[in-house]
Amino acid sequence: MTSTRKPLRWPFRVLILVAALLPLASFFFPLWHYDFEAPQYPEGLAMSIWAYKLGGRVDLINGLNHYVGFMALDESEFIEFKVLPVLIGLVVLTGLGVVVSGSFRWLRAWVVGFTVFGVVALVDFYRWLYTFGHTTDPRAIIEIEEYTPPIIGESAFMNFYITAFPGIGAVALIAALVLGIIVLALVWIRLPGREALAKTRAVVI
Amino acid sequence: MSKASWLRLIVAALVITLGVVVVQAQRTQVRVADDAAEHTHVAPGEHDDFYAFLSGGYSGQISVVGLPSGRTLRTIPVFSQWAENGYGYTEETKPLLMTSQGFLAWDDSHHSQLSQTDGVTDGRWVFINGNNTPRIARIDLSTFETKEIIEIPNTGGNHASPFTTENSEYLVSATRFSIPYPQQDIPIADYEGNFKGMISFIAVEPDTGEMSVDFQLLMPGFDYDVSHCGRGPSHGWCFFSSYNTEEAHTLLEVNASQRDKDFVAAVNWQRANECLADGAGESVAARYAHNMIDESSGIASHEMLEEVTLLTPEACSGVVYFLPTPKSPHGVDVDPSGEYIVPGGKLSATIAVHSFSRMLEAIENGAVSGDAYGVPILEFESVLAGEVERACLGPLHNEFDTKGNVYTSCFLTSEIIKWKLGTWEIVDRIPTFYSIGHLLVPGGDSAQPWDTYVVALNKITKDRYLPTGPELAHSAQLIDISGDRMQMLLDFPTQGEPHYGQALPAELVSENSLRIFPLAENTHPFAAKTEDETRVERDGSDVHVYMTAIRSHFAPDVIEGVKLGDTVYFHVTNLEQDWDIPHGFATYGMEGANALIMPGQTLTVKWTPQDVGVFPFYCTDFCSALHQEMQGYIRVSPADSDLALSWSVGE
Repeated sequence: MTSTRKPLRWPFRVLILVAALLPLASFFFPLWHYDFEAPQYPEGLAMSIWAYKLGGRVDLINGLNHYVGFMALDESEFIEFKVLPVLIGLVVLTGLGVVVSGSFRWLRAWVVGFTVFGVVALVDFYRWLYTFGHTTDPRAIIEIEEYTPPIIGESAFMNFYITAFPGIGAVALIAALVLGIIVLALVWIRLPGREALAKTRAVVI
Repeated sequence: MSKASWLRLIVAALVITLGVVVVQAQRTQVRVADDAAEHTHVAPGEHDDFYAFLSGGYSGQISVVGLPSGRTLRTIPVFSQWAENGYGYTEETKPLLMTSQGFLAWDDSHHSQLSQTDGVTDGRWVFINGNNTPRIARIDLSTFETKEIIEIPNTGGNHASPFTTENSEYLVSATRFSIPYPQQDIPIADYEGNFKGMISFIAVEPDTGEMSVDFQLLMPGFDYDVSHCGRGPSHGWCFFSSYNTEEAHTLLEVNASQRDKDFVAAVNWQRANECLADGAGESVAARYAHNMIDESSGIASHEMLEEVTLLTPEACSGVVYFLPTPKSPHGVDVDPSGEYIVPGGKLSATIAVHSFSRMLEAIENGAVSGDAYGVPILEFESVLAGEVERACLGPLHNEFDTKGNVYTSCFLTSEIIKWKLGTWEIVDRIPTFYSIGHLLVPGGDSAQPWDTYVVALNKITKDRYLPTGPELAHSAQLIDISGDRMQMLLDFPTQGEPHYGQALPAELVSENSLRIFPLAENTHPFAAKTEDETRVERDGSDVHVYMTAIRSHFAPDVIEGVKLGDTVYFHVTNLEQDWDIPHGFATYGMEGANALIMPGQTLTVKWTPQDVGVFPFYCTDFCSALHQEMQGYIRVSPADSDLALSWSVGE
């Protein structure tokens, strides 16, 4: 396994550098968007989830949620907003470590760790959505059937059409992970560097 | 993954995205009729087909709108002073706004209600409630003037009012905010059991329209919200929606929303009359105002009344039943046949319709599931006619057509749904912009609807018109209901906040509309019916000016001998007897508003001069080519002046 012992070739390192830096976008752009559409909101009603905060009209959404007894969204109650930036920072730093070391093992550990992080994050996200829709105030004004907001895609709830979709932050994270997996795969199947680079170009472009 | 797979994935993502965009576009598509302009265009010089009388909400007034153009034709001042014509400022009209709480320059008008004969709108009067300090006003549709206002005692928030019986024998009133009865100083937390509701029946004299509080029915302390009275078979009954049967006194949005069902109170007023005839009523002390304009002088009288007849459900069995109704119902409407009682359970997605005939059977069979403070509660199933499943969110109000269709306004989903009585199936829906409250079909709450239009009276405006800062006119929308599907025709802005409105064919009103007040019939004690009668008289420190106005001068227009400390009353009679020639009167430093005097009318402006000097007065309505010349002077001398009163014109 020459490629596991020899340092990674420079084209791979450049790709890993890109993959390592991409997650930084999630500090500048939202991870996830929720759009709420109802006739009386012609100007739109939207909420976004960032790595470290909530964006959009959370105040208005909380105001509406009290009718059906959904819990009010409060940034300070989410440990995720403190943990996520640290974890994303770790992804960046360890990614840079892979670039510097050029170690295949480091790369493999980085990709595996990043994947686990992504899966856990999504599971946690879904857990919150489920909890949100299944923990209603028993004294709520309007009784509703239990409801889990969509993690992605469209859903109708009360007088709203809700559309959920990833933001630039999440797209960057996903792209970084995908890039990492591709590099890992290319190295792993022991393609010569030059050909691998050509193949990677084709895939990326 | 192969290159081909990647490509496939990308294409799939694009298709899904495109699909979402198309679906979204369809969802927000508004169904506007292709020939909407043709439907709503009233050519220059032509007239609208219908008068609509829209309540003004917090403006306290009524606005008159022509349909289908949506043009505002006039504002009728009712509960609020109106500087435009001096209503509530002139000495003649001030007494109309007197109450047990003194002179009140504002109220909150919610529901306009046209008078009916045999269940059909007759175009004689329009009545409207004052919600805040409970009152009902009567507007004469020959002059479009408020002629009478009666205060409703023992009531907190006159919301379920002034809905009419089929011959306008009665108008109803009910307390939206239950209060202690009799009114007293008790802790608010003692609400339950100590606060009472009051349902009042206001008799309307059939010829003159004069109103009187015939009797009041003492009810459990719920919030009585909206009402409608029966017709045909259900004539003799009135139905009142109620919420807060939880009897909460704080944070009602939560605490009054706990029960699955509240009640519609079915009140048998014919039974009440039997009980009253048998002496079951009790005369109790009350203080309430009754104010009315004298037809020939145009002067409003104000009197305080001291007692009212009270009836309790215990003293008159069978006078009232509760029909269980989901959930915190807002409106309650009776279909043209009088059989179906349709509530709007605003927190329920299902519309449960009550049957009047089944209600009578349930009463006969004793299908009672309990009682609330002695009022029998009928079994829900035994009075149920049918249910409209998954109707909409936030159903509020219903209007009807002649084909058995019901038009229901839905606040939360911001739409009107059209459904069929009997089959309970929804046949059409149309979105409204935004958050509709009431809706109206001409005659749509009577025995004879005109199947032409439904008007959506929306609560939220947002982007419908050019922006006018944070405060926007409420938006109304005209929708064609003559075909199978509803078609949006027109947006138009309204005044204040129209709650309910009613409309009727124009000829029922236009043919009786007065053009002038005949001068010969003017019995105003301060009228000068010719210039020879004009004069100025002193009565202590009051100075009365008997003044006339005719194109293009006042008589007198030179007045001297008024002293500081005097109060001057300008009694201005408009001598014109031609159509649409009002004159206006205003003088320097006057406190109130100008008086806009119609031909043949006398109005009085009170003026208390503050300074010595010579002050102008003038005509405020551009009446003629020499309108700018229509002016005069009044001289104010020091308090100790010996100058005698004098007056003249043209000398």
